[in-house]
Amino acid sequence: MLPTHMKQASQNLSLIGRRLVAEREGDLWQEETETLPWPLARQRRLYKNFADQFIRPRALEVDKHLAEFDPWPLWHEAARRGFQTEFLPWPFGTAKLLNLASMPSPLFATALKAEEFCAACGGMALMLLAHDLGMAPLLLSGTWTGFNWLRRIYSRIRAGENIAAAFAITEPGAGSDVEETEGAARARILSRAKKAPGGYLLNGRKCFISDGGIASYITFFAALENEGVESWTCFLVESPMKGFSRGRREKKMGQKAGDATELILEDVLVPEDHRIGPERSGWALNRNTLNYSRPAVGAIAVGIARGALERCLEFCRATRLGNKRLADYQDVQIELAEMTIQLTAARALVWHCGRYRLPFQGVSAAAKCFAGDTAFAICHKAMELMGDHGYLHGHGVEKAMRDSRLNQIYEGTNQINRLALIEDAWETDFARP
Amino acid sequence: MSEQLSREELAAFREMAASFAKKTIAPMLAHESPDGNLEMLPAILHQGQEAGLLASPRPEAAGRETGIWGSQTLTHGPAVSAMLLEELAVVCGGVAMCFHAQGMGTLPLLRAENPPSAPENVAAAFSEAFGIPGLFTLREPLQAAPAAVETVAREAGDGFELSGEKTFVYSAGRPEAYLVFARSAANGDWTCFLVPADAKGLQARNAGARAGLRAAGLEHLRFDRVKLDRSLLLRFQVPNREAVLEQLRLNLIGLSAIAAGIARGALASARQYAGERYQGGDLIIAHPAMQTLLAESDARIAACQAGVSRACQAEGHAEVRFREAVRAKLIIMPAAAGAVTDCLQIFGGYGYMEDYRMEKRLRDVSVLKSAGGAPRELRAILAQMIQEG
Ligand SMILES: Cc1cc2nc3c(=O)[nH]c(=O)nc-3n(C[C@H](O)[C@H](O)[C@H](O)COP(=O)(O)OP(=O)(O)OC[C@H]3O[C@@H](n4cnc5c(N)ncnc54)[C@H](O)[C@@H]3O)c2cc1C
Repeated sequence: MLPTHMKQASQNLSLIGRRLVAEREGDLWQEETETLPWPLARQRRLYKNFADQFIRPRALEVDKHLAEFDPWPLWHEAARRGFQTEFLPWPFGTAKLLNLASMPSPLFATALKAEEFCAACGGMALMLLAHDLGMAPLLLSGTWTGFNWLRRIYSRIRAGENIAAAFAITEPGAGSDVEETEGAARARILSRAKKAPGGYLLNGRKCFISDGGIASYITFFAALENEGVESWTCFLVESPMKGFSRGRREKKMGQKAGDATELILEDVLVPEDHRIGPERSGWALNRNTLNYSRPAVGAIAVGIARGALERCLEFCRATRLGNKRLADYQDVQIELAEMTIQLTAARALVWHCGRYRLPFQGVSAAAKCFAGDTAFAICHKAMELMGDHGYLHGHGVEKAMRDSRLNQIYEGTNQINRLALIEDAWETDFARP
Repeated sequence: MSEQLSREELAAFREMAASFAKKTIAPMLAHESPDGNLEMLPAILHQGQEAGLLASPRPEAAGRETGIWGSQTLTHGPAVSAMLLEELAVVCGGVAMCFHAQGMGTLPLLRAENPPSAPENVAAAFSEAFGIPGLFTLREPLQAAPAAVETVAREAGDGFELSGEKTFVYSAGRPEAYLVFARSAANGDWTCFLVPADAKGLQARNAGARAGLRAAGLEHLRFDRVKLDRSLLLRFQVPNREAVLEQLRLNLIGLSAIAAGIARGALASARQYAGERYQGGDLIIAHPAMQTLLAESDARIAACQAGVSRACQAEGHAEVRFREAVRAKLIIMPAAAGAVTDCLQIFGGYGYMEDYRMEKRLRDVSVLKSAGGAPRELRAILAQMIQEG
C-alpha cells in the first residue's frame, strides 16, 4: 500500500481525527444496506439471498428457452418466504410491522424487493412483482371489500395454490390515455360495465397485461355504460368466470419470463361484491396505484442496471488485455465509476420516494423516468466496455439491456411520466407568477 | 484518387439496392420469429449474387465487380458500397451484415497481386481475443500495445504453419474459406492468408447466442499448426501494414453505413406509425413530444450519413484515411443507436414487441456499437493519433 493511500495516511491523524474517517469494510451494497433501519436492512438481505439462490442461476436459460419455463415453482418458493403476500401483516399476510414502522412509506420494502430480484433477472422478477401491482388497488381502495379480497387471496396463496394477480388498465386503443389526465378525457375506452341483476356485465379487451397469462385475479378497470373514463370503476375479475378468455401472449424484447397477455371479456357477469370501491372511483384508484407503483418500477430499473454493472465488472476483472486486467485500465475505471455514480443517483431517487409517507405523482414519475433512462444507458455502457463480448447472450449484459428498455415504456412512457410531473407541480411550482 | 460515378449512376445503384431490399429481403421479415425466417437467407444471398450485389471472388460472378466491396471499390472508392449497405440495412441490418462480411472477405483477394483461386463464401478474420489491436500493434503486430497479435505464421517446409486464434469472425453464413490476418514469425510484419475452412487444424466454433445481426454468421477460429501452401499467402501492391489499415477502414465504414441504414428504417417506420396512432385526442405525430423524437432522429441520421460520406472521401496516407473511419464509427454509432431507440419509443408498448421489428433494429444497432471496434478501442487509436499530431 502506498503511503498516500488514505488507510495508511490516516494513521497520522490525531485520535479524534482518525475516528472521523469513515472506515469502509464492506462493499457498496453492504454499506448502503447499513444505512437502512435494521428491519429493512435485514429484509434486503433476505431478498438478495433469495434472488441469488433461485433467480440468478436460471436467468439466462429462462430467457433463451422461454417455452420451457414454468413460473409456478419459483412463485411458490417466493410465496413460501412470504414475498408474495406483503401488503397485509400477520395473521392475513406477511408484511412486517417493524418494516412499516421504520420508514414513512410502505413502498420501501417493495422497492428493495424489486431491485434485488431484478439484479438477478428482470423477467422472472417481473413475473413475481406484477402480482403486487395487481393487488395494489385492493389495498389502495381503502374499502372493506378490497381488504376482504386481499385477505382471501392471500390465504389461498399461503395455502400453496397457483394464485396470482394482475392489473389491467391498458387497452389496444388506449395506452398513454389511461395514464394521463388530458388524454383520458378524450380517450376511446372500450371496456364497459353495465348494471345487471346481481352485479355487472363486463365487456372489453385489455392488452399487454403483465401476468395476464397466469393471473386468476385481475383488477380490471372499465367505464360505466354511456360514460367516459371519469366513470371508471375497478372490478375484481376471476379467470374462471364465464366469458373470460386470454388472447395473444406478446413476444417481447426482454423481461421475457413475465408474460404480457391480452385479456378478453365477453359478457362476464361480475357479482356486486367484486366491485372494488364505489362506482366511478376507478380513475382515481388507477392514478394512485400508479403513484405507488412507479417508484417500484424505478427500483426494477435500478436492479436491472445493477445486474449489468455487476456482470460487466466481473468480466473486466476476469479479462486480461496485454499485461493487465481490463479493470486496471484507467479509461475502463472512469466508465465503471460513471456507471456506479449513475446507478447510485437512480437508487437515491427511488429511495427518496420512500421518504414520503404517501408517494405522489410528481416524485413517483421523476423516479420512474430517471431510473429507466439511467438503467438503459448503464446497460449500453456495460455492453460497450465488454467489446464484442458485450452482445453475447452468455454474459447476461445484452439481456439486461433488452430488459431495461421496457422501463422507459410501461407504467406510462417516460414522456407521459414527465408530463405527469409537470401536471402534478403545475399549481405549486411551474405556473407560479 | 478514385474515379467518380455520375449522379445518375449512383442513383441507379441506390434504387437497385432499395428495390432488392424491399422485394427480396423484406419477405424474410414477414415471418413470425424475432429475426424473420432465417431459412430464406441462402436464397436471398443467391439472388444477391445474381443481382450483382454480393461480392464474389469467382472470375465469372457478376458481384466480383459490382458487388458490395467488389472490385469497383478499387476504382470508385468505398462510397458506392457504403450506400448499398445503407439501403439493405434500412430493411434488415443482419442481411446487410452478410453482404458486408462477404465483401470484406472478398476484397483483399481482388486486391492481391497473386490471387489464389478461392471458393464463393469467404470471411475475413481479423480481431483477436479482445477486439481490434491498438495503433502501434496495427503498425507492428509484435508491439504489445496493449496486446501483440498472437496469430502467427511460421515458415514450415515449402509452405507455412499458422497458429493462434481469431474471434468474432462475421460471415454470410457457413464460410468455405477465411482470409486470416496474422503476424509473420520471420519478420514480425502483417501477413494475409486464404485458409480453406476444411484445413486440418482449423476449428471454427459458433460464437453462440447474441443480441442481434443474427442473420450473419459469427464464429471464433482456432488454428492449431494449420499447414498452408505458399500460394495461399496474399501479396499486395502496398505494404501489408497499409493493406491491413485499408481493410479495417472499409470495415468501419461498412459498419457505420449499416447503422445509418438501420436508423433510417426505424425513422421511416416511426414516421408512419406516428401518423396512424391516436392518443391524447390526436394523432401522436401532432404531439411535440413525438415531434422532438422524430426531429432528433432525423438530424442524427443526417449526421451519420455525413460521417460515412466524409470517411469515404478521405484521401491521403493510409493512416489519415483510417483515422477518418475511426472518427466516423465512434460518432455514428451512438447517433444511430439514439435514433433507433427514440423511434422505438414512438411505438409505445408496441415498440417493445417483435411485431413492428423495432426491437430487432435496436438489437442490431446495439451489436454494431461494439462489432469491429468498440468505442474504447477506437478512442485509444484516435487518442494515439492525436498525441502524435
Ligand atoms: C411488456 C409490457 C408490460 C405491460 N404491463 C402492463 C400491465 O400489467 N397492465 C397494464 O394495464 N398495462 C401494461 N402495459 C401497458 C403500458 O403501460 C403501455 O404500453 C404504456 O402506457 C404505453 O401505451 P401504448 O403502448 O398504448 O403507447 P401509446 O400510448 O400509443 O404511445 C405511443 C407514443 O405516443 C406518445 N404519446 C401518447 N400520448 C401522448 C400525449 N398525450 N402527449 C405526448 N406523447 C404522447 C407516447 O409517449 C409514446 O411514445 C405493459 C406494456 C408493456 C410493453
